[in-house]
Amino acid sequence: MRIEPEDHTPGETAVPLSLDASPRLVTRRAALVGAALTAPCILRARSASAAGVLNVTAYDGFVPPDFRKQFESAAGTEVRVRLAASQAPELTLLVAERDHPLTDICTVVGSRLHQFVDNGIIEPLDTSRLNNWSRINPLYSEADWNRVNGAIMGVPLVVGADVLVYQTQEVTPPPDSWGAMFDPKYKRRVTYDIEDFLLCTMLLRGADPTFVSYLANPAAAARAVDAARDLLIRHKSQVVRFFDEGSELEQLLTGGDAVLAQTYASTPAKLILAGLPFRRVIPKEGSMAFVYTFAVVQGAPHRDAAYRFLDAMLATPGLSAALTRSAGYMTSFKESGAGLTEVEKAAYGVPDDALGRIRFASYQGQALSSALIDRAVEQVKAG
Amino acid sequence: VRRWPRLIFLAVPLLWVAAAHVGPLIAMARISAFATYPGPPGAAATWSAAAYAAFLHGPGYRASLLHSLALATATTAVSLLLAYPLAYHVALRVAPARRGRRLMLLVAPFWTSEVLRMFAIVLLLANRGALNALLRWAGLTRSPIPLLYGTGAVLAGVVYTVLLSMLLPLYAALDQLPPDLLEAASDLGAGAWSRFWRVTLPLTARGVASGTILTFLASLGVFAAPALLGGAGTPTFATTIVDLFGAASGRWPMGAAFGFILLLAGTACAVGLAALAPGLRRTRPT
Repeated sequence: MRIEPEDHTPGETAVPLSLDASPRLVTRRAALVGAALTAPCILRARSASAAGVLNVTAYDGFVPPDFRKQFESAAGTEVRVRLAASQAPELTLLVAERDHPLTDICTVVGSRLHQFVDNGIIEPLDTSRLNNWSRINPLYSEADWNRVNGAIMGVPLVVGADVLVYQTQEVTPPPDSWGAMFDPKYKRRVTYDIEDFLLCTMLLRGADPTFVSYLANPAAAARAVDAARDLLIRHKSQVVRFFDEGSELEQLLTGGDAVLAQTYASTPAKLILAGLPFRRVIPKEGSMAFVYTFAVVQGAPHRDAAYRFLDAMLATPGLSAALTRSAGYMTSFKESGAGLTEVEKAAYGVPDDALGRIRFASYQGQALSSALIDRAVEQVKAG
Repeated sequence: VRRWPRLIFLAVPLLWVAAAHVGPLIAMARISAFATYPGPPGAAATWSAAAYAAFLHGPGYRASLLHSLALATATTAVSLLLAYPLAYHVALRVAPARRGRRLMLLVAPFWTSEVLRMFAIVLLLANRGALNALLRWAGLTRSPIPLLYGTGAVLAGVVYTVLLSMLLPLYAALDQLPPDLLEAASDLGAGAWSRFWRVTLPLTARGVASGTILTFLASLGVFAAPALLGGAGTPTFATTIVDLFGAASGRWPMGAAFGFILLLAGTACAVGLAALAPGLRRTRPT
């Protein structure tokens, strides 16, 4: 490629770009090259802005691809999904962007709601802007854990519960208690997410993992957490590896390295539906359930598009089944289960007889629990 | 007149070093000195040394650093034992015309991503992995042997990750070894071992020293291998730092402070190793 020099006169032959050019010329050329390289980015950003954009930070599968396309074409809004693997990195990212938010909608798990509120990440939801709000099961739409000072904070989407997963050929008889995770027979064959299994261990010990009963007695809460933590540290040799994400759990289970696990990830459903020898059970001590909500970010640059998107999610017929299949959880919609096969309902859902043993994280208890749990998680890792 | 373009082209790498190396270090130093980061909305930042104090008083942090130092030491030793014979073979035993191709073959696995290579190890060492399948097929074991998620797997992964840092300096040193010195030693009656200990090794000591320092530093901060191949009992300082940055309860100052502690520990070790190197360099064949 040849570049015409600035002082090129007609009739003269163009000379190639040379390092011997004058400093001014080199500087100008550098500026031109820089402008040429950055122009497409600027133009693309402006073009996207003009067409309408919505930025969503969500877990994998929480925005079903067909629905996304449908919404984009109907609303003329480009939906950009930034994937989050878990609450901690998502919160970290959103806190870092807090002064200039790039996200309009984020995913909040009920048990971490207070951290999103206290850090000024999300704003109260204006349910009057959601014409289809009534399509959510009142068990979730009216729940206390989703309210701060009376204001509803997010649109409940899907519900996950901590389950005990076991490999049916190697774990016999079928376990019905979190205590199986401490059985020496399964030494180095157990895996769990420390934060969640701490709560399950509290249930096993008869403590209150919602922390509501400790609100007036924080010392008792600390003792309960410490006792669960010590049990985990004493039995650390049971654990082949701690996992953070569903993909790690899947690798451990399918690789045969773990045969028993605690999880609220959708991995067990995926494995069961694939015909692999795994089962899931809500243990007799009970289990914690977590509702994933879509919340509007404080200062969201595209707030109107965010409400249009949320309302479209609630209004779209058949989205519940699609969302369950893509996210791996039952939805919190009234029509939850509709469109799913019996096998899928069994793989994703909670049996009716276990519903009474499910407990939801309480917003009131979260300020007390988070600091204690986070500290205990570090101690179990290091212990 | 011609100095200007050169200065401009020198400015690009200098800007890169400032922006990509010095800039983040300054930002990290600042974050490590905050009590919380990012702080609550509207609250003024407060300075604190608590993040550094946490290293001394927190649960298992010192043990995690010691574990990383021990792992880096073991990695360096194993890498040296593996890379020296390989480099020796390619540099001194392969015909000059074929050396390039042989070296390329050794380097080829490093063209793929580190994470992909770690997943390849997972597929190899898992209970239902290729190695256990082979052992069961050969009748050597009836139940799978747990090979993954322990110190051995992490060591194998880290060695695999950083081997090139040892191999290339050794190859460069061996390639420059004057062949007439070996021939002279041979003519004077030195056997193979004697030639190696008294000629080859001393003359390649600089390569050993640079390979050792590079490999040690690279393995000290390796993250993918311990994160993907490590188990519940093998936390390294690098994984601890990543956990702190990923924690939902605002542990960035601790993560940043621990990053600096790792940097200081690595620098101290590198300076110590470099101090030994001149002694090695002065050694001459006798």
